[in-house]
Amino acid sequence: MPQRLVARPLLRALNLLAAAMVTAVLVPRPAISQTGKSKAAPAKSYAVPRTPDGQPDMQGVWSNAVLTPLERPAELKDKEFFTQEEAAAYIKRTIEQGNKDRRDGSGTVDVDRAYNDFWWDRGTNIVKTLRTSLITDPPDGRLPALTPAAQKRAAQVKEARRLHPADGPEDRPLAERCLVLNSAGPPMSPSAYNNNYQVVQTAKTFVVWNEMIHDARVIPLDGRPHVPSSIRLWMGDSRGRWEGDTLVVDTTNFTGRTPFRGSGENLHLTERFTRMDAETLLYQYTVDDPESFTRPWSVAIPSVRTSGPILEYACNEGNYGMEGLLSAARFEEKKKSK
Amino acid sequence: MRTKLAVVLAGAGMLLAAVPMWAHHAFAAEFDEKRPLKLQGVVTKWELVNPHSWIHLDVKGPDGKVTQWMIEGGSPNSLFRNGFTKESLPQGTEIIVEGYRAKDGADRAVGANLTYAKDGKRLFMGGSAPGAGGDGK
Repeated sequence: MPQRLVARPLLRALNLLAAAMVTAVLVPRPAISQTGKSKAAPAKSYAVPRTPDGQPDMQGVWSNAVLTPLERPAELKDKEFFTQEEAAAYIKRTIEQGNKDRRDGSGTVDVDRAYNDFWWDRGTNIVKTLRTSLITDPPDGRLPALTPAAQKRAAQVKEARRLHPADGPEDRPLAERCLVLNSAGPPMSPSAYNNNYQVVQTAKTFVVWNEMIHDARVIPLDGRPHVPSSIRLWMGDSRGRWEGDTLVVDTTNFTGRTPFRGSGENLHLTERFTRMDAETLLYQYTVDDPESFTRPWSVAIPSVRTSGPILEYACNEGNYGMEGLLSAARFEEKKKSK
Repeated sequence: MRTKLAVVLAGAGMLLAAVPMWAHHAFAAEFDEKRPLKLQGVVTKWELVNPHSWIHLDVKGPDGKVTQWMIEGGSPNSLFRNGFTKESLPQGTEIIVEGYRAKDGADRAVGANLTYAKDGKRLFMGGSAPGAGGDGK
């Protein structure tokens, strides 16, 4: 992919210069749902392409790399959308913030920050709607409160980790073990890198192949019921159906070992995929988990077409970090026992 | 330009909440915040493996003894998308690493800042890396 081998600083500079102008032209605000619950529809002038069997064709490689945060920054209060100027300033600041040679803060902060932004691939723009958060509902753009039960659960996990931080790999998060990575979902979330996914469709299945740890989620479209409730899966059990030109995917049967912002095993996740135009696949989801959240909440991410390809992510094969942190834990134990 | 932007940022204030760092693992579990270090050495190998790349570095001590260090970096997937390849950091390049040493005392570290020894420029930035295709290349 030689066309992609352009130095990032150059891309950044172009982006910064163009941000205000581009967003001014490309904002399709009315087309994208304002609450995340209302139905999304492409502009009337756009004819959604079809697969040979007549489904809306969503195949291709899409990117979720976006600088818009999940939650609206508290400082923005009731500001739901940026103006063009504010958007350009926000993009500029966010990129610069990540890219600085920062050695400020405590040692803990510095170690966890690890290294500069050139190692990452977060994207260089915010959502085209200029919304200040990916969360579209509640209207304040913030996560609803966790229920007391969910808070207790989170505290128990934290305490278990404090008591047994790394007796063995099983004590570590699934992501560190290269088993499932949070951003791959479901639901999918923008992350620091590997933000790409490829859609492949057949008449009876919708496949989402995520670059983050190369999971391929094969979603049946044939109306079969969910697996029995006794069967639980880290990534849940997904079933898809067409509602007009939108693919709606219901996912249930989670394990509770892949909590999403505090969700539990009885999370009912509803995702919606809608072709908005040639370059945009709108990805929306609603988290419905009354055991964990005081109300449902919804997110909208306009995925942008990218040339790909999906790159390999052989995580376990090169996971020297696991060996390093287990070795660190043994060292700490020895030190304490002396 | 960086200095100028830094000044703008200092005044920008409210939106400067830290960019949420998501990494594959908790660095603090592997590296020791109480053992910051600065190393100067010669690159012998760059392992472009996921989930993190590793730079191998020969570091000569004051007694002339050479120690082989490994420096943890980011995923090759993002580096490749940003225009960097294996040729961007050839063997023999002399670099300076500021970072933190492994908790178990091994000759491994995470690299917070990486610069070229010859001119102090940041690694991979501003077209200074061979093959990066950036400014002036």
